[in-house]
Amino acid sequence: MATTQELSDFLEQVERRAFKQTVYAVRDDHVAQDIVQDSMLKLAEKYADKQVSEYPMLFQRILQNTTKDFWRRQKVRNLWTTLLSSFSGNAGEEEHDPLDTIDVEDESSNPMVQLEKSQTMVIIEKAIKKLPSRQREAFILRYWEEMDVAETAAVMGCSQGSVKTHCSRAVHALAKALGQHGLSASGILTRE
Amino acid sequence: MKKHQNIKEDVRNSAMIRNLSSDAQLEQDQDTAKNIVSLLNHHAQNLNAKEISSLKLARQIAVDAHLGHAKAPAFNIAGLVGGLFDYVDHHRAAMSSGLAFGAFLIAILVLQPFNHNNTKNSDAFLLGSELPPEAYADKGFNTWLEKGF
Repeated sequence: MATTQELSDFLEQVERRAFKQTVYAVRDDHVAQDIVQDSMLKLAEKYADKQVSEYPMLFQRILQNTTKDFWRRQKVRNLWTTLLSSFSGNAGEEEHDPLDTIDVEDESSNPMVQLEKSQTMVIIEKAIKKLPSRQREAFILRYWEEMDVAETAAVMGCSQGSVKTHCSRAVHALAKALGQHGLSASGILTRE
Repeated sequence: MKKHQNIKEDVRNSAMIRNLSSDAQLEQDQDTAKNIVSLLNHHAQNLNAKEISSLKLARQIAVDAHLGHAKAPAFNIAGLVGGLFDYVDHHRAAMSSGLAFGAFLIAILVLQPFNHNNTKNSDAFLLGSELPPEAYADKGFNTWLEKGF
């Protein structure tokens, strides 16, 4: 059984990555915070008797499932909202404006001043958010969490072949997105 | 015979070239992924102060929960209630159908006394009970009574 200190160390080690990974999946910082907190709590409460070596896979699985739960709830909420809004007719001020969600380039950022690294980061983050969810999951687990193919397959609940395919497609999509901005795929930090 | 051997060799060579190119592709993919991940890691370590403090708080809550779990593993009413809510949360569809069915049953039970079939019983009860003497003196009542039975 893992000690409280071991749990604390483990969470400290993974929390920031988990937060960013969740932000890429749900595209909302506050929701991502909630999901990470829920996942931490579930790990602490339900798997207190597990060894610390089992925590990385367990935590990733909990994080993935909590994120999926969020999407399921969101889907049901959206369904009800759509149904109710069709009854209420003109929603007035509450009406959703699609322009609100369009990504707008930050005008205050001056490309001459901004570091090339952060520019690249913006491109990568956008590309990761655009990836299909399974490809993003596979990429994050396999490369960011450094799990092997079998572990990734176990967390994702699919075959090892699917993991390889998802990973390959994700890397190619990211490389393509970088290429579109004049960045080479292998040496990301150097402009072509 | 020699031609046959040459074909075999060609097939072997082309398979080898295919494997080499696939290995090179895999290696290139891994290099790309490694570079992207190094940037992602760098970025994840530079969160803003608010995000860091929120994560710290979340970690503290989890650690406290772990501590509480380790100290009192026997019977925990809060955990039981929480578990119940978790169960309900995860089986929302089944719970909703169950509740709807329960409400339907209750509605049937409540409406049962007002059912139309009870009219005869209530008439019999009224007729069986003691009547005031004026009722027997009324001719119309006797006629109605004979017609009714």
